[in-house]
Amino acid sequence: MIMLFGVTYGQTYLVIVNKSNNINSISKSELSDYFMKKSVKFPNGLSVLPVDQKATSPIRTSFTTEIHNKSVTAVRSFWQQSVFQGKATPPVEKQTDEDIIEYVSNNPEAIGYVSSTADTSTVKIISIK
Amino acid sequence: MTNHLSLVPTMALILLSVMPLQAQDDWEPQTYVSGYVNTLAEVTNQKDHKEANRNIGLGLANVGFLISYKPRPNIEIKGTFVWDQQIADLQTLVVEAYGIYTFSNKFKVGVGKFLTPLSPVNTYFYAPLNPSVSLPMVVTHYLLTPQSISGLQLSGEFGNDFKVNYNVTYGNYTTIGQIRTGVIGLIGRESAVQIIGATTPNPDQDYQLGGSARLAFEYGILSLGFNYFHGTRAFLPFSDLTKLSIGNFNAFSSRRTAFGTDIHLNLNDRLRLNAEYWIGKNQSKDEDSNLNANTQEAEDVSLDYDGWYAELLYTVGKFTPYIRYEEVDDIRSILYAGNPRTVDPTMGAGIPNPNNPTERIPWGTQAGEFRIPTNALGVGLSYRPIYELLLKADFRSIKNDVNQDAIDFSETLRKERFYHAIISAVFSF
Repeated sequence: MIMLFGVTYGQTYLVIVNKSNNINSISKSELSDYFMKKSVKFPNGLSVLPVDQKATSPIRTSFTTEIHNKSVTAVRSFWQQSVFQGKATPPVEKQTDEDIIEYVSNNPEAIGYVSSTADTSTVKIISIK
Repeated sequence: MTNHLSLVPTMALILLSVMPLQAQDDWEPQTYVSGYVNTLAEVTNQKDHKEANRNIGLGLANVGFLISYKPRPNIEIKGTFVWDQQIADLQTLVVEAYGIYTFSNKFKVGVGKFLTPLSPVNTYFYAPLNPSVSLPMVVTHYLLTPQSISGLQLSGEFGNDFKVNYNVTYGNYTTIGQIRTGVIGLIGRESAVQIIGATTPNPDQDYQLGGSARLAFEYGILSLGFNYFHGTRAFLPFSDLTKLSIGNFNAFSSRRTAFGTDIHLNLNDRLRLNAEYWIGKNQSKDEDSNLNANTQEAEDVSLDYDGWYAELLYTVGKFTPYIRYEEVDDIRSILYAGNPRTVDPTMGAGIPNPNNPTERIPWGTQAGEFRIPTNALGVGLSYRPIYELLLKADFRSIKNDVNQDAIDFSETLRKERFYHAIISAVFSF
């Protein structure tokens, strides 16, 4: 894999956080735990606010397969079960890359992922270890 | 006389007025909506159903709707509504409706109506969550615990790798009972009044006070739970041995207590083992309604119940086959020689003892117990090719084992093993 500006070549998405967040990299397991709400705080103590792509997004399919090792159906079923059980609610979903970038830039605690071609000038890209 | 817990809305207002209102100008309220439509095709060879031409059925079984709204990061307002063919009133339609405030992960306070949170089994109540069509009988008989409790809930979780969960819920519940539903009447759901077709002495649907407590431990692939329920009012069935028949039951006012333990193993969401064991006690109370006409003293009687199940599930891709074995002994009634409340003790020496005809059982005294222990072996398969569609198929072999204390009074309740096959299509959104 070729690392280019924090992007692993072949990866179709970029993981982004608010510019005020001081983390620079994250492991796959940490990233999965944040989006499955198994971990609720960053190492720096900041609360985690994950934001997901819409269910039909091909970016979400790539992210879910590579980070969670599950299908989107399996993850959606997990969240349906969690909500009915009263355990947790799923991450916020946004329709477009622009919506996600705006959400992350407005929320210091947010973490999301967008297409590798999106304009990420208002947020910070972090690498996946 | 009603016994509503009117403190609940008052406490909700007090909680809302003293809660620290965090400045969350950047917080965007979150709404989550989900629901399902569940259609069944069922077939059975149980003799009663064959004779009534009800051994095959196809139709809409239940419809569920859930909405969750988080106006602030630590407040959630949630409602779940489930309709099925036997829905009798609006309060049964509302399965859950509550608000919950999260002080921290260790301490949450909720007010409203909750699905009785005694074990994960209760969550199988919702069709998309259950990999099998049929639920374990300790749940569907609804004779040990109520489906929902309205009132106050305290809950939380401690720990990271080793977690301890607790949940205490107290408030009002509707009197525990079961009514048959599904398209051919072989699936149970909770009913506020009916107990196996009985007419209770006071068919009111008032709320009664009761509460549940759960303590669970999770570590890695294993979770272990301990559960307790106490209800201040239930119905303890009794029947006249001389007039024993389906529907001819009466009941003493009673209180109910139940204890359960559950264990769950989960290996990477592929191989799962679930098992539960429950015991319960139904103890009479209320001297006025339980008075014996002979002795003019209150009947001090009790019935014990138990039930357990164990199931194994294995997920391969989009398929999840399962196998489950279960036993319940919770359909019981105390038998009397004549109705103890109304019997005329001057009628004679009593009735012949069914187990020893040379002996007589005096009028108005206990003549044993009527029981229908039931066991079932089920196998099934679920397939969820896409999120929106879940297909399930179950095959169960069920045995009613009516005890010998009762005269074989009914063709429909003789000892028999019958099968019940179900196919379900659940559409979710």
